Amino acid sequence: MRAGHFKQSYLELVALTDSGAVKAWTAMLLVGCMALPWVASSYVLALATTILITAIGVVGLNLLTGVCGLISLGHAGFLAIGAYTAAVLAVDYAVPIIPGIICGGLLAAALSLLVGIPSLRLKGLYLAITTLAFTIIVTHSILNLDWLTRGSAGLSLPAADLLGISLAGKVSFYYFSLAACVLFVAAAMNVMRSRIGRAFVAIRDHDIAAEMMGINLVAYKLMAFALSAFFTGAAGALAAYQVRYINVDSFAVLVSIEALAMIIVGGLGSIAGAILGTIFMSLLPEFTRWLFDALGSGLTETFSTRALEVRGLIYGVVIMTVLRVQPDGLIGLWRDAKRLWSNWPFRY
Amino acid sequence: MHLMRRVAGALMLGALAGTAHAADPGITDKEIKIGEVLPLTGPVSFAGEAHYLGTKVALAEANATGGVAGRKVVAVTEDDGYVPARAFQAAQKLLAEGVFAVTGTSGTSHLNAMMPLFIEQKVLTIVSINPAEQAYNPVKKNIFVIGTDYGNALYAVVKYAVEKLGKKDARFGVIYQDDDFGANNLLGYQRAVKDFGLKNVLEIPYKRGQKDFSAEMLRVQNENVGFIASGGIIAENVAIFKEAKKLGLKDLRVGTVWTAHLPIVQQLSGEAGDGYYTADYMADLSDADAAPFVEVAKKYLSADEMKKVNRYTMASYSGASILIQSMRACEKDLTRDCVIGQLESGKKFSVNGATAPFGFSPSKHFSDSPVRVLQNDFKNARFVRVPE
Amino acid sequence: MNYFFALLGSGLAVGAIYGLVAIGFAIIYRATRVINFALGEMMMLNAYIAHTIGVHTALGFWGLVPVVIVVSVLLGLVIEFVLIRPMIGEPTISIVMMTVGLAVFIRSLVVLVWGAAPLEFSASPGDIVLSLGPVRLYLAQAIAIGLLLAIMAGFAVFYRYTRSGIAMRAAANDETVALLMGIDVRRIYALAWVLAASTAGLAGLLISTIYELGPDMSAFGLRGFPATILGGLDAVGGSAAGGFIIGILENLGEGYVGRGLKEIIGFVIILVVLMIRPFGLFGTRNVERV
Repeated sequence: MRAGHFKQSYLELVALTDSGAVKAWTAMLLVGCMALPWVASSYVLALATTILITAIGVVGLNLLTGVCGLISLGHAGFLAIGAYTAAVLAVDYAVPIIPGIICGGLLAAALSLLVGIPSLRLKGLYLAITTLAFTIIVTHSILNLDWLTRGSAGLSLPAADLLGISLAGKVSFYYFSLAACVLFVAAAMNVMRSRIGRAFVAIRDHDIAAEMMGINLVAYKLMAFALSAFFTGAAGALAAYQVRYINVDSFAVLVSIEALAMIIVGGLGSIAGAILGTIFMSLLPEFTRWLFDALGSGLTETFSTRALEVRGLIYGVVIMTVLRVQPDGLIGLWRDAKRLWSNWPFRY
Repeated sequence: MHLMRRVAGALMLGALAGTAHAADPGITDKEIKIGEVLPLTGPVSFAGEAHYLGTKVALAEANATGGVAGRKVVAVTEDDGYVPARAFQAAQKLLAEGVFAVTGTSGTSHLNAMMPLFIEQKVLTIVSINPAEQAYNPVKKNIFVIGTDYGNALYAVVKYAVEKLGKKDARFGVIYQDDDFGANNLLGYQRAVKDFGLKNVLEIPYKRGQKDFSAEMLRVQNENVGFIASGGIIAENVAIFKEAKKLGLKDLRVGTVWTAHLPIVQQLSGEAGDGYYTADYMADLSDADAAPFVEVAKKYLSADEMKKVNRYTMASYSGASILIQSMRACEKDLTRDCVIGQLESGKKFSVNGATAPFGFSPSKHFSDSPVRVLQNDFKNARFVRVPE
Repeated sequence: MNYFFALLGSGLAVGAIYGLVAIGFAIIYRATRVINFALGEMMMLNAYIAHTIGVHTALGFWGLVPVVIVVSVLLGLVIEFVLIRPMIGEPTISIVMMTVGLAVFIRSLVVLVWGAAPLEFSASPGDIVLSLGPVRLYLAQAIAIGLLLAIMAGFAVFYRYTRSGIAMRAAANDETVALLMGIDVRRIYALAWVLAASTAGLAGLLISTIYELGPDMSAFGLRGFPATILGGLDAVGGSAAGGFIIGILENLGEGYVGRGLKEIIGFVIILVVLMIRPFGLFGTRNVERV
């Protein structure tokens, strides 16, 4: 008798999922996302669009930090590169949105090698420091390359259109972001089940063992870094099209830290976790605001005048608590709950 | 066919009539909502907080005297942390909630991010915190700007140095921030250099948030500069004054824009800052002109809040005050169109002496307020208007 | 030539601050192999607490020095005990992220408690200007230079001659062996955090007297990175020297080239150093390559 859920062939192991329930849930989630514009107010829709775009970048960061075990504190830099690439291409060369997004991602990936090559040869935390330096250099360059980036004035993007359909409206842009998000998440899932993805995990879990298995550490780490930069760059390009105005202020170091917080809270190394973390952390300020409103008007004033600080405080506490109490994040909580459900009344 | 056209026509008429009678967003039977997006946190929170108080005073004053058309005026404030993308989100949120007008617009790039939304949804917008040229040139039907350009302020101090301080033959320099604020300052300075035929020897950009200005001031000393135009905000100006004192640059005069017209700059720079020049279109709180404003503010703000009051409070008070005055003139027909009509009627609005009376016209949605040069009187903790 | 020396002198003064910060990174990294991304924030929190104490007790600069040391020892111990100690044995990335979380937390806390506007810090050692040839420095800046040199010398003695110093080196070298030799490694880790918090606390006090006390002071933490990378991430004295070098390079860069070069020169140096000499000028050569 089978005492548990086993995978018996290699194909089963690499399949995206073999569970009918997961397929059904995914389908329902997609339908729900498709139906959202009919029920949501325009603010909720805008928030949802932001979450979808953020999720792309966070899933990318997760490939690096969660899956491959390397810390980057500089993904804001890649976000900026992607956003500016798309914006400059759209404004100066009238490049349409999809090539703009791809170019944004590609340039981010190319520039990531510049930081990756010196720091990924080394073991330890060097990547965190170089990426931090990189963000600062990127914003400085954006400010100083006036002829290309318009310096501090920033760039306004024209409304995009796709095959004749205007993406200026909130609803159409929401659908576009949804499609992009689904595409990128699917890509990340496929990377993770391929040889490359499994090599990343091997490097994270034990780099010497991975090397013994014939994995070229430098090449694969660089690949993880470039891939994650590509995702983030693409997210930056999309974000530029959403706000339709960009300027360096949107790409502070704090953005990178928020993204890290999202993957930690969601659960390192899991794509579902990264998405869950993005949703949770994006809704957290809304939720706290609602809570403050419920608690009384004096607090509401504190919240609205000190919103970012309260949010920062919560971010900090959530990061520390999750690391300390639930290192596997929300997705770990879910797994525990599932195990409890199926094994009850036994512990395992 | 004929019938159908008639029916369609009737339907369209109905639809039109419907829109004409529906109230603009933000107006209910009891309340009129106005919105603000402000940098309440982040590097320029001093401006956001002060602005917030100005609106508070104006609304409290209005509500204490019967409100507008029997309704209470309330403000919804959103913080953007001085990040344009957040300003955009905040604006979306305000518009989704429904506001009649927006009186807080954060910084220049933040306004740039929000402006397409305001234009698209025809929100009446009054820009008072940061008079950005993009907002009034070309004229936008629903956007009004109070103030003047930073460049004009720097131009005015340089002009004063040339005409009254006898600095015509001195060597001039400028220190400016590497963003849109700094670019604006630089333009004003360069215009003055050209107009007065000055000897411009130094143009030094600095990065926002820079703390140490020792190398910059050594350059100033090395070039023997007699007048430096400083485009600093708070800490930058303080550092510049302190370095000048350290290097013993007794003959150096420093001119700034209105970001230095703040008590905090005066306090932090101490004696080192005594006598620096600044230029502003808002009156100083100690100025006799502003006494009516100070009186109103004291009435509606706590002592703690009064400590945070500065020129930005007066600017935001001016913006909210003219909005209320115009809304009151439209009590019968409380629509954005009517209020816009009032604002651009050419009428001069007076705002309790916070700034000189000003008005707008259909072709000019910019008050272009006159700038006055002020000098820091450290001992008496005030800014004195220089004799003109 | 006077100009050159004046730039050099003011560069040393700025560099001393970078050095004081950088030392904190090096102490913790050397003992625990963790980079403390919250160092700048700890420094700031310390300075704010010192400010509040200074306001209520009217202590002067010299009176505040012991206060700062006591506060930072407590702060270091609390942080180590509550956040870092339970994480021993977890992957380095988790510990580092803990410090990142702490950094975000302190930054917000400071603004919520003390407000976002810069505060006046009246406890200055005096507005005296010292001049030596073309070099002119405020007393506080001279103190910073002197203090950094003293701390450098102190650590050289500490690591070489004291029991705790030798134990700390042993623990850094091989944790397991050190444990077997009867060294209480946990105590060593706590000591490292306390020492780093103290140097950072003094840096915070000096920064708030020389510059100002504001919530963006934590940015100085960021500015300490180039110094410690250049000097060597595990070299305490080297990081201090790195601070001086970065300060001088920045000032010379601004004095002779300009164009805002000084604000990023340090970060360019990080990239260059990691490319050609990843262990820094004075660090130990055994940086593992992969």
